[in-house]
Amino acid sequence: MIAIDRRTALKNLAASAAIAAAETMMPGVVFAAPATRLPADVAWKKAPCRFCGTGCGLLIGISNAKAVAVKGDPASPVNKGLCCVKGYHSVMALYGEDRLKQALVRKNGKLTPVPIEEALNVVAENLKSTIAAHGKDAVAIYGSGQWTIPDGYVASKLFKGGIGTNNVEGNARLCMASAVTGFMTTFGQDEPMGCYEDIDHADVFVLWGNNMAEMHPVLFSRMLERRLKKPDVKIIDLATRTTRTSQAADRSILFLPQGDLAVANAIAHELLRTGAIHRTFIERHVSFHRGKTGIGYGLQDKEGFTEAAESISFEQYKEALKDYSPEKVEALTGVAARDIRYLASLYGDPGRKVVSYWCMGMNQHTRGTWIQNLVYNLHLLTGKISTPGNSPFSLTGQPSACGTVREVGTLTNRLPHGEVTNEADRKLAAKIWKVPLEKIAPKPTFHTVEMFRALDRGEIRFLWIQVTNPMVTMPKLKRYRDAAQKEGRFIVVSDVYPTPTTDIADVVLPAAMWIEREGMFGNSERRTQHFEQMLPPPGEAMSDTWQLIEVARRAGYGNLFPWTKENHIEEIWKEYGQFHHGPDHEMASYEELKKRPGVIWPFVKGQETKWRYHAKYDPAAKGDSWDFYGKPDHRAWIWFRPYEPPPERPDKDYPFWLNTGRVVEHWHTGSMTRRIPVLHKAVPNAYVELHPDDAKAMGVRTGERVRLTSRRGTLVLPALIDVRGRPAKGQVFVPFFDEGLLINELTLDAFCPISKQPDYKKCAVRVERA
Amino acid sequence: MTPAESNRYWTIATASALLAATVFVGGRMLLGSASVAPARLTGEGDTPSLPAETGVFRLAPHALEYRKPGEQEAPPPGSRTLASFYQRRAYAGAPPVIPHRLLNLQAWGGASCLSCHQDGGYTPEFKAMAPVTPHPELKACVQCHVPQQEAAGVFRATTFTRLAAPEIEGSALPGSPPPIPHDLQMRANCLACHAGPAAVREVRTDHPERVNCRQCHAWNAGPEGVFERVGQ
Repeated sequence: MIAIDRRTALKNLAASAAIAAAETMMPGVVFAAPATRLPADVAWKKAPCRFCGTGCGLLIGISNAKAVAVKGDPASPVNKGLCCVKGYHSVMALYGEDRLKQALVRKNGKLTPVPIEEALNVVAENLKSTIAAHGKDAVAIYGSGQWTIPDGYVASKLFKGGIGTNNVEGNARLCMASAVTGFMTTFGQDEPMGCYEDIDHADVFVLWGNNMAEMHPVLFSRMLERRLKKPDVKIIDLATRTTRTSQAADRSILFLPQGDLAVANAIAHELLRTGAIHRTFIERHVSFHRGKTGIGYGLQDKEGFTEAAESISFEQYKEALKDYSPEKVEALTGVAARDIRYLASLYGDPGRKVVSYWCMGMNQHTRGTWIQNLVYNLHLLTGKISTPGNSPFSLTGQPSACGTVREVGTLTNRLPHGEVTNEADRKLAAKIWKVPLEKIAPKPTFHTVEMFRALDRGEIRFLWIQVTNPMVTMPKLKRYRDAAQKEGRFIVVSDVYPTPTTDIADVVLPAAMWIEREGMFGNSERRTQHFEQMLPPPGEAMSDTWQLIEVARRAGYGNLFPWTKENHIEEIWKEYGQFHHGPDHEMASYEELKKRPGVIWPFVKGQETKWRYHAKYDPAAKGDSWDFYGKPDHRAWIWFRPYEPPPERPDKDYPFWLNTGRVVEHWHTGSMTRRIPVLHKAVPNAYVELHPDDAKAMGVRTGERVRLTSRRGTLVLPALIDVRGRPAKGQVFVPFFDEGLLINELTLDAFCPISKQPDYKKCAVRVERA
Repeated sequence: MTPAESNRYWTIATASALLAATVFVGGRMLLGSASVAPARLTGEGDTPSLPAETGVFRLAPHALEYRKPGEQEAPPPGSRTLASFYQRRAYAGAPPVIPHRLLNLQAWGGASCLSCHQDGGYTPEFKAMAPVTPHPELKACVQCHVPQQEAAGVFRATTFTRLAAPEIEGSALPGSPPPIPHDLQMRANCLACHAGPAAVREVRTDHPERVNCRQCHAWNAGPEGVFERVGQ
């Protein structure tokens, strides 16, 4: 027996009593023995938050190989010490009791635990046999904006450089694709020109369909702080639904779904009419264009689209906007002409710096690329861009949608640098990867929706899904769930908990999560953030990067990954960095990333580039002011884009609009946050928000059941009336985090033909008392 | 090149050379001083050294009110105890949950939560003294504090081990002012939690009028250790 003194014994006794008491008060939380968790033992280590694209710096309290607490990192320029409720409780997501610790292989129809070596062999064998039987384009990988940069890099190298197929997609296609095509069509280079520091300089914030108070709460708080310091700062919430963001804004303006296209054009119309434009900026730095119209909605399988840009003059652009007078647009969108003039007066006032923010409202939109172009137009007409406080800023949903999916290029059409269709880009990849140029296929294959359709049709036979939960998130879910369960399809899922996606898997690989491995994320403001391995992964769990490497070695692609478990993250970073050499995308060194709470690229000569495309801040820009070097004409492109209606609108049989989205407490499909008791108890299940007038007409009160039915599916949910958000009359809102109440059974798989990103915000439903 | 121009270039060249030399020497000096700095300052995972001072005196004007008679009497039945104080936090330092129903579900910051939690006071709805927030400048309260539906139970149980609360009695000498045992991030305003009738009795100060708490109570929540001479 170990001798302990009387004082220690008494302390332990008191502590045990306190724990016993606490356990009865907090059911579901297991309290450890006292000696293992004294504050003095805690080491605090930096990591970016695991959840949204804000990329808050966290300090993780580690004690006895457990994460026990979280603080906001005061040294992080992103959040300056503040987090949101998800961030503060993020480490609890590591400790759900049903964490996947063993690999599972389906045997006689049942997922059965096996040693991970056996599961990796099964995956490699099926990969090889599928390629042999059906060709290389029959195998695919579907990853995530929650993939670390090394995960995505290895996936791209294996599939594009090793196997030779462009069947690589990430769930960021569902979340950021329209942002990418918006940037590419207007500026020729992806990702924002500004950074979060714009908040500290701006006078006006216009939020386009963006409930920032719940989706990017820390940035929202920074914005409120800016207004507190400078009371003439204005926050304008332009949305289809009244939210917490509307409550805190100076002005809440509601528009009818899809109306944003017309509102943006009307603001431009008004800027031109009043002459509140920056003429020399337009003369020197802008060119005018128009593209195809009547471009469809991607509702048919294999529906393709090729843009054709036509140059137009400033006069032709003005002429095209004639139909968008504030009065005409008021009738179409429900936005009062005086509100449109008010918005134009804010964008057009040379004395005010303007930031526009958006996220899923503009991205998940069948004209997602167009609406991005139209909001850029407002900043370009007024010259309010690429200088501190003047920023059109596309917020990212996921922690590494930028870092991994967009920068590494884990999309069918992308490479770590550039497009697969571009020979120079393929040559660079072939050189760095040391593979023959012919290996890299010059044509894109399937974007995400089409990838799942190809799975249905049988063109794809092997699909590996990592860090994402498509059996909750795919629109028109039933078709794609049925597809995945068809005979002759082999589905591998890497995840940390059982989900509806692991339910349909043939092999489940347990993944090391976040700080259980080393990695990097890249956030919305081009900031790359490194985190070290702080904890051992549970059981046989393995990082997604290392799972891919293990399978690659078994399938005969081992020569592409000549790294050890100890050095692979550093080696991957060094190899990947070669793709981005040069002043327009130089990345910080591995050593630099380890030291700092994130580094913004381009990182040139020890300096972060906070504002791109202006010579004062950006070493890649020539001249003494703006230089939009992403385009061959060194000009930003103003596009004329018309209003076009959405594919499905409320009618006699389905008279309501359905909008879907998130809540602050839950991350995406809730597979992590629902296992955090504090967050689960805050929002235990999905619900449907109704406008109080609609609820009254139906005789429905909060908590009573309502049936929603679309052309694709039906679902009964409890009603919520004026509890959190308030949809406009004739509209309903449902959050998508609840795997028990799958709203995507009802949504439509229509997408923007340019970005191929589905629209989760608009479809028609019937609403009845259940 | 004219002699005048030539002279000017010589001047620029000499100045540049001097500047380069200065930078070189200066750089060397900086490098030199860095090499003798104690290793612990460059160690990975060091916590930021000192807690912020912002908000320290925010409630100072209320300090005397906190002394009014009856303050040490038993608090109203709905008020917090030390046990409930900890129960509402997932770990020491976590933002507490909202333990009551919300009176106005959609109102925002100053218009709802802060009407009770900015200055505190008795709330008849809950028969309790409202706790005072140490950071009233942050208005998006529900960004971090969320109400709980206890009846919802858990989705799946958790094996999370929480960071324990620090000990309360930590005086170094008998009767000496106890050091501050917890982190001060967003809690730099001592009186919000340690003074007034809403304060939990075990941590309530009997001398709020002194206001300048950190004159006597040193912050001791950093890494443990004793002074060591460099190189010894």
